[in-house]
Formats: sequence, C-alpha cells, structure tokens
Amino acid sequence: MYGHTLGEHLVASQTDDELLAAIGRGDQAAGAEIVRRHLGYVLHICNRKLGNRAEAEEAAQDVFASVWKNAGSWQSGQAKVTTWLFRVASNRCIDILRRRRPTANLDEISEPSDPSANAEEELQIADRDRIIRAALDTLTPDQKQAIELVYYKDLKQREAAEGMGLSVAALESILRRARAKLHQTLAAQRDPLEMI
Amino acid sequence: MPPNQMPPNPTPLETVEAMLSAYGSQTDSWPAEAQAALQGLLEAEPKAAALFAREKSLDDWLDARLPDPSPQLMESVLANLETQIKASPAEIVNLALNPQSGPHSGPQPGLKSGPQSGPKSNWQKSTLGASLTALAACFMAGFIVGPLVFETLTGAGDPLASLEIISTVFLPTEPL
Repeated sequence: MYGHTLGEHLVASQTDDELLAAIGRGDQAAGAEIVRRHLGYVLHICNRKLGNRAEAEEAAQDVFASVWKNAGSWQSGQAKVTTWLFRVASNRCIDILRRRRPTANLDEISEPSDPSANAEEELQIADRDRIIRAALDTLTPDQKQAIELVYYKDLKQREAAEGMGLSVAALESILRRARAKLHQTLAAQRDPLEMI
Repeated sequence: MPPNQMPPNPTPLETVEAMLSAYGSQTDSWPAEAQAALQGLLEAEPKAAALFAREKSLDDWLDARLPDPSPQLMESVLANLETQIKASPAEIVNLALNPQSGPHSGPQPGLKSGPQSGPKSNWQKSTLGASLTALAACFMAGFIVGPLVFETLTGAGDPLASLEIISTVFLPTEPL
C-alpha cells in the first residue's frame, strides 16, 4: 500500500499539482482524475501534430506513462501541468514523426514557425476545455444529459425528448435552465482566446 | 387567464427568445417559422441581435470542449497507472538494476532535478534494490570464502575439518 488515497469524492476539488503529488504516492483515484481532466487535451495535441488518430492515441499513452513515472518528482509552482503535458506530448510526437520519416531532419518535423505562440494557443485551448467541463459539471444530471443529447450529439428535439422520457416542452424547459446556469457560471470567466 | 381563453400567439420576438434560450444560436434545428422570424428580427430588433450574440458566445464555449477520448484509451492509460503502482518487488529490483529502462522524457519544467523516475521516485526503489543486492552478494561471498580461508589457515584437508579446529582453538570449552 502506497500512502493514503484521496478518494474519488475528493479528487475533483484538487489542483493538478495536488493530484500529481497524490499520484506520486500511488493514488489511483488521483490518476483517474488527471486522465479525466487532461487526456482529451493531450490527445488533441497529438492528433494535431501527427494527423493520425491511432498514432495520436499511442503517443497519448506514452505521455501518461511519463506522467506516472515522473509524478513523484513534480515540484508544484514551477510550471503549469498543462505546460509540461504540452512539452512531453510535443517531444513524443517528434519522436514518432522521426520514426515515421527517419531521413527527415528535425527542422522539417517541428512544424510551428513560432513554437511559443503555438504552445500558448494550445494552452488556451486546454484552459477553455477545462473551464467548460467544470461549468458542465455544475449542471444537474438531467440538465447535463439534455445538453449532451441536443448540443453534442446533435439529436432532434423530439429524439432527445424521447431519449429522456420527456415531452418536448419539458426538454426545452430543462435546456433553458441548463443554459441559464452555464451563462451564470461562465460569466466570471474571461475567455482565454480573447487574450490572443 | 380564464380557462376558456386561448393564450395569445407569441410575437416573433417571443418565439425567437424562446428558441434561443433553449437551443442556442444553432438555428438549423429550429422550426422554419422561427428561423424566418429570427432573420427578420436580427437587423430590425436590437434586442434580438443582443440575445443572439449572447447565446452564440455560450455556444462558442460549448464548442471549446475537446472531444472525449475513447473508453478503450482511457482504460489503457489507467491500466498502465495500475501496473506502475502495483509493480512487484521483482520489477522494482529489475528497475534498480536497469535504471535506464522505460520511456524517458528528458528534463521537464516543474520536475525536480537529480535521480528520478517512477511513482514515489524510482530512485528510492533503485537505492533499496541496490542495497539488497549488495547485502545478498556479501552474504554469499562469506559463505564461499570463509571456509576456504579457515582451510588455508589451519592446513586441514577440507572446510569442515578446518571449522572444527577453529572452534576447538578459539571457542571456550568451559561454561562462562
């Protein structure tokens, strides 16, 4: 047994730094939370750099293997976890591109002309992903399901209503409350992309 | 409202408000009459334009959510973590003897410098593993070399005879 575990009910309120420290102590719940928060972001970076879903998934697995190995050595406050993830993911993608084209030189592989600007943009994408996920987590289960079905799964109103066992009017009422709640939650957020 | 009185038909602005507040700015799924009402109101009615812009900004936020990874990928990544955490003692010793094994990501921001890898620092595991290995080696060397030294010192023909001579000479024969 490695140290104490935070418990699944606690991890959601932990910062990334705190989660890495817990992973360093062998806490699986903390690991699951880091995956929940950042796997989509890492996959997005790898997908953009590699342009191939299968290779991107392989790279994302390698990135998290590196996270598990190095979590115990993480020093909080030195850098953002997303910055570190971006760098590890970028390096892993370069390795994969080298393997794919062994004769290509590194300049051809590292595609961004201004890597810092590219990194900044990617980090803002990560921030927006984190913010909207946190906002969606404030919704009630039926509000969240309604948004998922109508917005993300693009179902027609009637299909979504039937899926939830509701009338269309009841679905619309839930959607209105959900969107009002999201407006309220996101009002305090400054859109990271506006800062570019 | 009296029960026999029908509700008045909503105005175009009320229709658009109702659709925007429920479905946001993605008008493709709106009924045709609501879409037409919106088109007519966007230029003529500032309130409609403001409502549309407000819901469009929320939709931009919703669009910012990155696609969820597949459950298979999630499981695979978490299984890797479980393997790391539940590494058997044999794997830890192997790690200690081969510290360069496994993926290496190089120096990274936020990571402590110095020996490192693995959850709860594989460096600690490597120190423990190396110590155990050294202890075991010393123990085995004692078993092999000790009797040979005694044999040489005593001139006895075999290690057991030399041990008997040593015990006779050096160990007390009287009770203490």
